[in-house]
Amino acid sequence: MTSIVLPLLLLAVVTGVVIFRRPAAPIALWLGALALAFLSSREGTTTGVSLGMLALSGLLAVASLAARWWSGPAEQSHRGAQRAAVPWHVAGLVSLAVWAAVSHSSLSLASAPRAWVALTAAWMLVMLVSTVVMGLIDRTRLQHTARVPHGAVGHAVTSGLLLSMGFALLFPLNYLGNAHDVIRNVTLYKVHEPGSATHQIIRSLDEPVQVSLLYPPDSKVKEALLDYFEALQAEHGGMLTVRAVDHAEVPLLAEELDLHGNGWVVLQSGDAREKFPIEDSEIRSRTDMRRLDGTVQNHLIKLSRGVRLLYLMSGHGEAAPRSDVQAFKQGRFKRAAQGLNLQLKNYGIDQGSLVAVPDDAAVVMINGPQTELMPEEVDALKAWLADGGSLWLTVDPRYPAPQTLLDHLGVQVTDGALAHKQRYLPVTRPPQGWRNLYTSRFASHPVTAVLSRYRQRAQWAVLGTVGLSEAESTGLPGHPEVTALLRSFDGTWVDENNSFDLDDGEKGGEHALALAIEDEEIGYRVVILGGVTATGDVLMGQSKANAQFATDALRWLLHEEDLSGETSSAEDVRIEHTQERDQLWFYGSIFGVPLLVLLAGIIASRRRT
Amino acid sequence: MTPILLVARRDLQGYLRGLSGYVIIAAMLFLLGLMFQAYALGGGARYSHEVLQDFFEFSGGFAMVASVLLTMRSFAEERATGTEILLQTSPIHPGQVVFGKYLAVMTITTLMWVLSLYMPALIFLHGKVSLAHIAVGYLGLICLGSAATAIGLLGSSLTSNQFIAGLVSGILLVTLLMGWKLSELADPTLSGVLSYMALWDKHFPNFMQGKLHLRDLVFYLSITGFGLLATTQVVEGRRWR
Repeated sequence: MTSIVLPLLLLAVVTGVVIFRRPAAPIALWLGALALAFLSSREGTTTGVSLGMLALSGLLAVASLAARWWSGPAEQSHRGAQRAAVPWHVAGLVSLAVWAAVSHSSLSLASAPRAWVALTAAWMLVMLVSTVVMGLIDRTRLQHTARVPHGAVGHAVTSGLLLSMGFALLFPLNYLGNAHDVIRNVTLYKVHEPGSATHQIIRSLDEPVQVSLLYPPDSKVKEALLDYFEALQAEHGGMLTVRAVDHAEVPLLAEELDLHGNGWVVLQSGDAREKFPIEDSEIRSRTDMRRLDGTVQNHLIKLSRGVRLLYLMSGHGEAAPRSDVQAFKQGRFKRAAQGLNLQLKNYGIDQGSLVAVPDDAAVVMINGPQTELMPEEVDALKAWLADGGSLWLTVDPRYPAPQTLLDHLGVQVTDGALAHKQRYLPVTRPPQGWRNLYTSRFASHPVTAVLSRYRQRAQWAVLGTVGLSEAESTGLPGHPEVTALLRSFDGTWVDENNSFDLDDGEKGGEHALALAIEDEEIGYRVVILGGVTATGDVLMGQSKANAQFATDALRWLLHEEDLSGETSSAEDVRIEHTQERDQLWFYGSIFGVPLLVLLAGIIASRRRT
Repeated sequence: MTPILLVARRDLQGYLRGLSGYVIIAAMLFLLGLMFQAYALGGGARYSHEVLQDFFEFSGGFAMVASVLLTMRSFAEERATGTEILLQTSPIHPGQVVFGKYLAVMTITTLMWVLSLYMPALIFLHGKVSLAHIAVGYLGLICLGSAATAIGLLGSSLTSNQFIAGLVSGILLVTLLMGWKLSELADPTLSGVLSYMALWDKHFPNFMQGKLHLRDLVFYLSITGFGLLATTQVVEGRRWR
């Protein structure tokens, strides 16, 4: 300790003797005292050295006050200015003493929060005000070596008070702004906002979830993730908490989850843990951030419910995730199912489709079969439904309907594809195009609850569909309740003779495009769709309504309709802007407007001359 | 006409009757257009909102540079040409002089942003963004420009040399911009304050992303207010020399 303090003391004494009688001595010594005082509280300074520096700081502070009597000219106005500075100097000394007492005692924010905050705010404010006022008085003295003008000291005091209080006011103002922050997110692409489905999932959780963001302190990606998770934390209180930590701060967690660095999001609920990576780079993480809400939903469901199985019936030419035709390919549907933590498995003769639906099935899906099902398969499905199972059946106008199963379900399909002369998607030319229907007529049902909310904008579409209706009799047990989930617009006709046109005998009307059947007591649930392209990659990619319908129908079949809601995602239009294509805009934006501004400037300056 | 508007009109005429104001606006628009075409729209297919964010990111830098360029002459030139004495002996309060000069610079920078509107409008050629996002981004530019203007005026009031005034303002702005970096070196208590005081890092990106936070508005307004107060005190202090 002595090795540092003694030279410092010696230096201070020599400096003091040299400058003591100089006009700038009081403020110079005072600033030296403040610097030493704050250096003494730096982390890593040993207690002995710290106390030594503090004592030296006290000495310098007292010496600075004494210097007010002996420094500068003896002229009366200078003496008056020095005297005017004394009260501020004393106030400064008191604030320094309070600071020393607070920072070198056992008093802390944790032990006595009110006292600590009050004393800390008091010393900061008094020290700031006194130092600024003192500094400005001394500056005034130094500027006027002969005589300090009358009123100049008064102005220095007022100015010092205004400046220091104005600076001090920045803090409570910004504190209030921060504490009562109001946020309006006006972008079309709310990447960092949780969707309503995520809120529903958290409401359904039995155990609280802790989210750990493993990122370095200055990470921008961490800030964006915090925005997202803090919105969930604010909405759900203790059910979801979030913390941001550096990888090095949680070695046990990192080792357990085999995480070798930052850039991970970890969800913990009880003993269950889920993790997913999001790179710590604003540019490289953009794709992941756009899908953040869906990813979080997926992992929350995994965390709370484990993996479920969706059995996809095969062997009858059903549409599959790997089809060659994009309109029929079910890749996006598969990803939507995986988003609900559903794992897809084949369900054919090899998997016992002739015997019974596997015990671990959550949903069975028959997606556009091209041939009739075998009687044993229908029997297995009948037993599955009687046992409270869930079934998704999609028929298609291109193939014969699985009549035996439809009879059991009590559903009739139209004898031909539906068509409409106005309400069609212009993807192919009429008259063929008239069969590509869209609708915004949604039922009041859990499957279509979200779509109903957005009926003004949402348009569900299908490239060829049959109409569905309730048959007079049903083979389903109990009291099945049938709901038409989607209805075509009025004027839709059944093209019974396959002529692609509205012929004599064919008349327009409304038709159901999707049905939901359930019996609350037994628990079975069935969704029937009239066209397989509705869940194909083309429409699932182009129409948000189709994707939402597929997700919500699956949720309903899983008896998780409470979790239905929107997934926040950043669907956006990519802009490809090339100089060749937009040359006019390119040169216009770079040269045109600046040249016009310059021209206006030349005209304005010439007029003046 | 109030004294504030008189001072503002006088300074505006100073910018617009000569070439200086036009040259600064044209140069800024040229560079901004170049950056917009090269970086925001260039480099392959990009999402509309990313293009808009990048535009505001570049523009934020230009907002500060333009403010420094426009304010460096505000008081320094008055002192250099000897017209400061006219202001000091006039019955106008120094606060009114400062606010009038601030209004003049803000009018020029706002004019510059109005003239740059065609750039975000280009996004509508092939993409889609919300008008509110554009409005919030421009509000952010005006807020950032306002804070930079207040700091620039302070720098200009400290010296009679325009170049040194620009340098002082630049140093002050860079110090505030580097708040986030300085916070890494400071003690934990001071670290939070320094990081929050960073002129750009904590507050401007929200505007870029179309997020309007009350706290960011309060921050920029409070920095502007303090900058103008400090400038007023410096200008007023000269009367005692």
